[in-house]
Amino acid sequence: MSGWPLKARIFAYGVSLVAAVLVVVSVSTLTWSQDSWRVVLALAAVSFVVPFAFGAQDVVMVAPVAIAAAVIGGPGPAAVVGASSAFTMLQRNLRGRFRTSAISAAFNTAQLTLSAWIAALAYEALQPVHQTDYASALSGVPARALAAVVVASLVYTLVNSSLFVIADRLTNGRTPGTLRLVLGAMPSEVVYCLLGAGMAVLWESVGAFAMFLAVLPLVVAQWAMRQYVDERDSYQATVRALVKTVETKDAYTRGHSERVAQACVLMGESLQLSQSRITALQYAGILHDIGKVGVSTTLLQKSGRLSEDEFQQVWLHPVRGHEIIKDIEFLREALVGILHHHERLDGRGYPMGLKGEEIPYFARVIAVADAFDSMTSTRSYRNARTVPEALDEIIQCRGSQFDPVMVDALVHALDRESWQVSDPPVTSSAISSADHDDPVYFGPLPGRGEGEK
Amino acid sequence: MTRTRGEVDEANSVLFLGVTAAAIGLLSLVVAVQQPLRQPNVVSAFFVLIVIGECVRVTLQGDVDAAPLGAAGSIAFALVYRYGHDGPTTFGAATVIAGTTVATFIGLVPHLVAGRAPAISSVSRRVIVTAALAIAFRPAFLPKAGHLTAKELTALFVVLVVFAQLLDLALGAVIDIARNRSAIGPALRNQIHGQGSMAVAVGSTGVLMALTAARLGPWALLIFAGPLLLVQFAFRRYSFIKRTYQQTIRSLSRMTEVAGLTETGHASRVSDLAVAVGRELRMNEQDLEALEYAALMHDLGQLSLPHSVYNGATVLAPLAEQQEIARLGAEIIRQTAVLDTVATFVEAQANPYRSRAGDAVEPPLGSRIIKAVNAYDDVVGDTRDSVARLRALEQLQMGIAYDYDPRVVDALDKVLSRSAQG
Repeated sequence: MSGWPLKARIFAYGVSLVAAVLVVVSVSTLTWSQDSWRVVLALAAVSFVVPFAFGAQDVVMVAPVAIAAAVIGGPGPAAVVGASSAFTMLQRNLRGRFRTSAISAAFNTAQLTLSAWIAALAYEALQPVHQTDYASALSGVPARALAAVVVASLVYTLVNSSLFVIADRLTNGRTPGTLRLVLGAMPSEVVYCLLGAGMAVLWESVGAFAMFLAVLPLVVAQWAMRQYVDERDSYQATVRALVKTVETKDAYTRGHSERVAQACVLMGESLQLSQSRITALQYAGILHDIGKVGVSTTLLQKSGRLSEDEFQQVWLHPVRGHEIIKDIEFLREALVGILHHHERLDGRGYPMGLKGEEIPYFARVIAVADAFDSMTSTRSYRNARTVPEALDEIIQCRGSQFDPVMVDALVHALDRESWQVSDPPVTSSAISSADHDDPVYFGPLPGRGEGEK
Repeated sequence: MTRTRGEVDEANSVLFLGVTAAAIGLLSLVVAVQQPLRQPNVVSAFFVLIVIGECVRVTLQGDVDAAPLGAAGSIAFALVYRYGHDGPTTFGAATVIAGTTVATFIGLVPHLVAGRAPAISSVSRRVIVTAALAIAFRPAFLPKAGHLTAKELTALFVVLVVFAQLLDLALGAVIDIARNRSAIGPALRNQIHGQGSMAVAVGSTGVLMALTAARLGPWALLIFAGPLLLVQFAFRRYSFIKRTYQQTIRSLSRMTEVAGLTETGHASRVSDLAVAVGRELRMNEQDLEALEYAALMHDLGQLSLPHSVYNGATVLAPLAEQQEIARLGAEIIRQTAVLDTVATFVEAQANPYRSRAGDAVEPPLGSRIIKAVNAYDDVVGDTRDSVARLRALEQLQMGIAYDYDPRVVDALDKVLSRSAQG
């Protein structure tokens, strides 16, 4: 969240102020005699030292530690432990790995403080005996003891994500939906709160130092997750860079794959596909023209109409693309999308002349995205059309060349999001290239479609 | 299918572990059934945990077989000294070992039904490590456990489990040594690097379960199973993306083949052979991975050339042109911003081992390997003809004075003659 508007600033500072007052009041109620200072110091140390030792960006320990504080000490200590996350943020900034502005740091700290405090209140309401020990509560009435922690942690997640969603809406105007955030975080949240309960029991039966032992599995989990995210990003960067090498063969199609991928993602969102299918669709978009590597450079740059033989070469590029990436398991669905992305609904496309529903779902998406980007990009033989012009043209082909559902998805997506058209190519050489994606230039195959299939 | 000597050695070492584990398991079963089963509800709780853990076993990248929940459960089973309302535990090491063995085998059944190969090495390691832990703890320390403070007990558990997990990694290293003929040091380092974090998560969870079971009984198992499942989930995703990455690089390396610039299968063959040579020369796992990728993508630069080179056989091209291809390839790979080592290997792949001026920097080992293996494959191709092989090697030997690193050519010779015997 960069560049906070005034409304968001007022909200963020307001929340921070409330949290600050809460912390001051809570600190004044802590006493040595009731152990509450020891609880706060030990748990704050865990939530600070563990991220410090393992990389603050990778490891966050606030949730289980806050639940443990709520169970052992109650609302006051929980609020103070939540506020101690400020140290982690400070350390993060000092190390320079993950910089946050003062206002985000203040707001995030306040968010965690309030979440921990309200969660502790919820726990207290359900489990009034928190000052005795959790182990006896659990062996006494297990259902009640467990319900208390689970509810407390749900409250924690709810408060935390609501505050985030409000701030996000005030800043960006769009909201990812509190419910989806809360539901998405649910499984790990339940794990965190049970771990918090486990920490409380260890505190009672072993002592403060066992807290560090308790968070070790979680540290490993978060570290491994970070490895996964790094590797995934690296994977994406690699695929993109390799696709670019194919595109550099032709100045006019530079960035085409990337934009088709983007249009595919937007359409996938309009079509309300699952996140994993949208990812697959994105890769299908990035890789859809990879088979062009098999089409010779001279052919791609040839001016004027292509001969029958040369058409044949161009028609083969989806097959070549399929051939290249057929062994990548996770692109199973993307694969058929790439093979058939030049099929037409009326059966006059290539390479197989499939008709209507025979054409795989992804292929129908890519076909529209592909034609749209081609038309809004400059070609040697024509200038780029504007977005409305291109859309008009695509709508005209609705039902003949393109699946109406996909055309509607694109229209819907462009209503929602703005589209960044491609920059005209900077090139001195007067190469003229027939764009095989352009429906105007590269129409239906002659004599194909009626009799076949 | 013929098997290489490494595969045979690996199979033998797995068999050895399996037989050892089976012997330990059977022996303890014989001992355990001679006395009535004490505290059946305690035993059955751990038994069920291990079965479940084994059922949700996943296969991870680099042949790491992971059933962390089962492993942590068996550690806790060996160490549990008190169990909630049931009070101090009284069963001995034999019960723990027999229980773990049987539970593990029951947990294997769903995997066998689904047609997956049984993870013999992983299961055997589990039984052996659990046996060591139970025998170290139960006879000597269990009677005294009631007199120790919670802190002393925790310290004792941590020490015992650290040794147990090191034993587990050492057993893994034994298989690694047999398969890749690596030395003990690198094999152990490899294990710690690849599986150390999982071992920490499993070990600490085992200790936590054993400690809290004293007060909580079965709830302890439930509470600490969660984080470990998160660990397993994260590792599985990581493993998935790793596999996808490898498949993708391997696939995209075929771009030059589809474009008709290089011979079919060239990149893949060079990569396999280069990794074998790198292993022979004891490169570490990260460098081996970079070498694999670099070898797969070593001809990528040809895509940026306006015309094709000698039908793709770069060994026949003049040095300057080879270096140009290498430079263009490295440029493409650098754009990823993440595969720096790979780009370095690709960039220097054409550079001669010794420069004529004598002042140039020696190319990195990965590049030297790619240079030699690429030259070899350009000459031999995919024939398995031994005459062609000898001729190609002879050519490389002649280039030792200037082009090729003699150590690399030597290792290539060894690898090739081994696969010829196999």
